[in-house]
Amino acid sequence: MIPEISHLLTILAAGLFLFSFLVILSSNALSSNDSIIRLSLNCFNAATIFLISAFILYVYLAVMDDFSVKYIAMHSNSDLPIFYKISSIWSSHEGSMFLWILFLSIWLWLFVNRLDTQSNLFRYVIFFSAMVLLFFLLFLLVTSSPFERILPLAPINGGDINPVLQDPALVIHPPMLYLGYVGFAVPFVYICAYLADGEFRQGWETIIQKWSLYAWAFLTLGIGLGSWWAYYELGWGGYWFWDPVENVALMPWLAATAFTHSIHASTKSGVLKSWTLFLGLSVFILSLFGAFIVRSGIIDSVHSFANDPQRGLTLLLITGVIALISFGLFSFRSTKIVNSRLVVSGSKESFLSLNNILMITSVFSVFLGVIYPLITQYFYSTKVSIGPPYYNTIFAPLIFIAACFIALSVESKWQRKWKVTETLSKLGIPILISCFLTFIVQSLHQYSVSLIQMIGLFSGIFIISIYAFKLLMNSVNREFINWSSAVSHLGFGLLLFSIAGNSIFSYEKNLKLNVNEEYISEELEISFDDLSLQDESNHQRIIAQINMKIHDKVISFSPEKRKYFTRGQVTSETDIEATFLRDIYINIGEQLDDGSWTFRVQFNYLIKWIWFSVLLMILGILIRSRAMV
Amino acid sequence: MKSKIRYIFLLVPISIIVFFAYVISQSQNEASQPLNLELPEFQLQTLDDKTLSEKDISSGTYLINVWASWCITCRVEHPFLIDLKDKGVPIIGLNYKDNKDDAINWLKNFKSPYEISIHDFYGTLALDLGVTGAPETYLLKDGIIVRRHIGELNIEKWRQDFAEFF
Amino acid sequence: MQSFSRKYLIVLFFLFHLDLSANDIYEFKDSYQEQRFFSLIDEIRCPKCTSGSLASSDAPVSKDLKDRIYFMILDEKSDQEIKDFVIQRYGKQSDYNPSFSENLFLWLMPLIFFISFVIFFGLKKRI
Repeated sequence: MIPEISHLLTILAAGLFLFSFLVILSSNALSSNDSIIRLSLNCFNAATIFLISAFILYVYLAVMDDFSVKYIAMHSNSDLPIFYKISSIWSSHEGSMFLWILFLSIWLWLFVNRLDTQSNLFRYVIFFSAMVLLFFLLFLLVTSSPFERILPLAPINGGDINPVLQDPALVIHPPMLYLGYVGFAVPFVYICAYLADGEFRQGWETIIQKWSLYAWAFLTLGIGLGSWWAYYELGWGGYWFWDPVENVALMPWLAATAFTHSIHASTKSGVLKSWTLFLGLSVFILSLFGAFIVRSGIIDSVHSFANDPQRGLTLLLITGVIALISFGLFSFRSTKIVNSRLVVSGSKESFLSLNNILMITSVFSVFLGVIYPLITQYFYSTKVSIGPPYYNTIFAPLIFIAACFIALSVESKWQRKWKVTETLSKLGIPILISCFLTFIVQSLHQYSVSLIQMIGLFSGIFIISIYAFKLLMNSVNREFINWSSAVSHLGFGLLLFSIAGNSIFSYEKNLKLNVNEEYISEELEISFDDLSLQDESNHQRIIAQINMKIHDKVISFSPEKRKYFTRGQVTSETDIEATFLRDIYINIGEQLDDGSWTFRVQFNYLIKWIWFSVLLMILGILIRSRAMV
Repeated sequence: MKSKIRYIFLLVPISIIVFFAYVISQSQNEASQPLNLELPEFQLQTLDDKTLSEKDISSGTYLINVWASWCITCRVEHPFLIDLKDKGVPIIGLNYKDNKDDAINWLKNFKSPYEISIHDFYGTLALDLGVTGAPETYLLKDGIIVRRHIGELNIEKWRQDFAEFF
Repeated sequence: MQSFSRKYLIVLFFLFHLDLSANDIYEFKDSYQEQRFFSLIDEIRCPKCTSGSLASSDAPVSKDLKDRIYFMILDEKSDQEIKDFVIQRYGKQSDYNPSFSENLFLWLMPLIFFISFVIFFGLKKRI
């Protein structure tokens, strides 16, 4: 009964979005007919309420273990704790699509209801919002329905979810990520509305700026949580692999970062308007493209859902239609957009303009890396793999240039050419510090440091020292400092530094030990003290007791290996001892013929700094949005 | 915006869409790989305690089938292999990372489609061949490996990739 | 060549590393070799996984490959020889670092893209 109600509510929501869309379409475009717009808005609001109710009912079904619903039966289980029952909803395609659409409608609903109904753009905003929601709801209902039933014989219990997904980070990572993706639907529909209207009044940027900042914060947080989960859960000690699915989340993020910078130039100085419009459209389109890549399964990735060509084709078409409409509007209408002034070379605006180019180059590079294997496979019958070596090589110079831009534009002024000598003199000390420290690392480190690592390290230290210097000048001389920019960029510099440092300093040891055996080296002693076998409700596990003596400290570790009954899946639970500077990360490998076990002991440096730097970047953006009332 | 440039904004999305539509349509066909690998040197025991080296099979056309008693899909492909054996196709078994007794019992219970079965306990020959798991089937022709097939061998795959050699 | 030399190496290995470091699976002659090993397993793709390097994979074939690469390094084989060994068996897609000469478009396009955009848009006054 309840599944049917939920399903019906979703269908009604789709119908109302359709109606809302048609009402605007057929309304007289020249005169703003108040009651028609109000009708359309009311339908839109009702549709959202229905969708929210449908989802709440669905959550109820999951919590109540209604296994007559096929999706819940496949992904949940009565033994799961409540919040994993709820998170199982977004553990696979249909349910996560449902969540995505829910968030999309809530964001747009909030935005639409805060807009001035008298504004000329209002009708267009509802039009485009309803259109996008309609497309995706139809996609959900027709090709990926979470409401399919298994009747008349519902299973008594569900299948288990993948144990790797039973993790707090996985509960929160998709929702945060989706909030980021769909958050950029707000600038998207508004820009489409702006272009469709064609009047090009001033001040459009301020309306969407704050919304964009929040969306950026969620997107950054979502991606950061994904990395965090990968590090703690997957067991190989890495946090970013340039896997295609990670890349398709990175592309909207890069475009979004460009967008936040570009819109800043547009509001502060009335320039780069075409760029801002273009970037605002691109972020959302790139997220749709990402959804297509992940859910169609055409690219090999550990993360992707099953290969389903029909679903893939439908998503491709939806993305394509939305892209063509919006980019079509942009290309044909934006000729009439006039910037308030000319860009002075060497001004802050000119650096931001170059920055836009830098960022879309990075989007392009990631995109190229993702599709190149497809091109070679289908057109040249060769298989090529693209991974960290490619991306690191391409990104190193881009990051270096970005660091230089930050350095130069921090001191630059709006609408005025930069004073070369003054700027360079302020940069002198940071440059010296960065060269010096990079050189020290290079000569002291026992392995050779690659050029890419050095570039990353240098760029990170450079940015940090520039802002450290600025902070100093602010506290001593009361010189002006843009706090939000300082905090975010400091976070970015710290991120570069930590990534480079992690890459340079981390090392590992692969050991094989029998119980009661020890490994002794100059720096540490590791003893394998005990191995115990335990039975749990849905898995069996062995726990190894490892004691490490390092620098006169004794640390104990209990890494585990688990075998889950339902799927026979084996997972490794890493044990981590984290300090400020580094994580010691121990994993059980496998048992060898002589009864001994292999262990992988990693010393991962600056991991905590990476997480902290992501938080810093988000904090900077929040400071900015608080400042904009 | 100059009138010509504006069309790029439409052309780029359209070409990307067309490209991916093409990729989707093609992504269903995954044939096996043609190869040109010289049969690696090896000297290993067989399951019936004889010794086999690469010299013994360096002329003639054979199938090399990678299997193990722990491999479930191998049981699925097994009847087809028996079929091939009855038709006169010489199949050499490569018993991959398996306990010798388990392997011998498996062959006793299910009948052996193999002329001879190499016991590659450590997987050294497998690694030299490029094996990633079981079941896999290789075509050996006069000392050169010319085909690799990953996964279960059945009548369609046989016709597509191997039948021409026999 | 391979199986025979492997047995030879195992003997050498145990002759030289009898005592305390017998528990370190990947014990190298010097830190340069060690670094080469860890770089290589980061750059070589796991043949069986849908995605991921040897370093990130627990699959049996990955472990075998890692062990073989280890011995090849001890045997003074070059990085290129090791990669060629893997590529010959598992295909070109085993190398996450695609060759420059065969993939010029891949490696050069980002640069060309950046430069063209800077020339056409970066120096504009009315943008």
